[in-house]
Amino acid sequence: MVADALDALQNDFEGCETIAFADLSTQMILITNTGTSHRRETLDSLCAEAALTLGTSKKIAVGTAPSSTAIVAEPEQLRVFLRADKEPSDVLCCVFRPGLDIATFLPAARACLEQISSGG
Amino acid sequence: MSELTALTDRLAALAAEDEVFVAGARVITHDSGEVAMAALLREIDSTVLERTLVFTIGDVDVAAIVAGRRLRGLFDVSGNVPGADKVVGQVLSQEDAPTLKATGALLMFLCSAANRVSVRSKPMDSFGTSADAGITAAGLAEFWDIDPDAQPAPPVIRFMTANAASLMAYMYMADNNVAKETAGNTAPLEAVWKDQAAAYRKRQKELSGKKAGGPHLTCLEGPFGPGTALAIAMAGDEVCLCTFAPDQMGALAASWQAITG
Repeated sequence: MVADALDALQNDFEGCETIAFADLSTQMILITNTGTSHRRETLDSLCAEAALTLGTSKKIAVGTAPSSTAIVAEPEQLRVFLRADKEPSDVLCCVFRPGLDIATFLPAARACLEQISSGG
Repeated sequence: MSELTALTDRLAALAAEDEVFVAGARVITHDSGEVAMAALLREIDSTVLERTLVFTIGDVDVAAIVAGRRLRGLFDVSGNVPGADKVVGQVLSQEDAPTLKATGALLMFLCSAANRVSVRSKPMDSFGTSADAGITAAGLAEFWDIDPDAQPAPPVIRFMTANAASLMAYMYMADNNVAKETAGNTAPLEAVWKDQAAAYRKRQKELSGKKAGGPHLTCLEGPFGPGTALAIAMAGDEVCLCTFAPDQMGALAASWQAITG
């Protein structure tokens, strides 16, 4: 069910390599889209980066409040992290090749995250 | 694409050590305006044999006939670019100033709107006669008033310039983290810079692994509470901290990738 939602989101956006649902309280990736090619170590780093950028209940690396969305842009890769509204430990971690239409992706990703987080 | 052209592209890609290729075309600049024009002129200046250089300027292909480090003229311009019909197929010469000027204006028009220029070298298309020598790159630079040595501004500066309208406040640091320029309400940025930025950069480098040290942009929504947004742009020893409206986050990230990609 969750994997289906992640796969559906991934299929809607060209250049999407990985979409993972993670728990920031344990800093663990819980599930990814079925087609991801990233290894466990890479996924662990991805989750650690989500904790760093969004902040956790224990530590806020940048700013004074936990962030709801983070985007990390590098020349060859774009990573997007979103935090669920009602369950602050639930996050979506997304990895893209350059060229993503971010404005279109963000609302779709947030809807997917809220659906998963609420158990819907 | 012919097999010979494909092979030529492939060999060029293999021979290059630090060059970037997109769809078989070599990227010569990620800049616009005069810097992009200077990049075009450098390619012309480097081309001794008779070739058709297909420049992809933004999303427009311009096929230029080049030989002996001279531009003979434009063979084709894709799409419906205003003014193209006046210069395509015309041999360039010092005696025909209007065509020369129109060709420069066309290229500058395309370069002004582009954020990337790439080139593909093909066997020369039939164009003019052997007596049509064309104009040297140096001559074109002089006639078009282009500085052939124009260099792009550092990426962080280009990012700030490109997104100036979206930035509410910023701090720009370079040369051993010395604040070079600030604007707007920088109090929250100064706090981040003073207390958090170094640790954040260190951790980010640890997570980046082999890619550490390359151009990097982080955009956050809500780091100072609802309705706030912060970006940290880093490249080399340059850093920019800035605040902006959250709905601009996607545009800022796209801009960064266009500049550094």
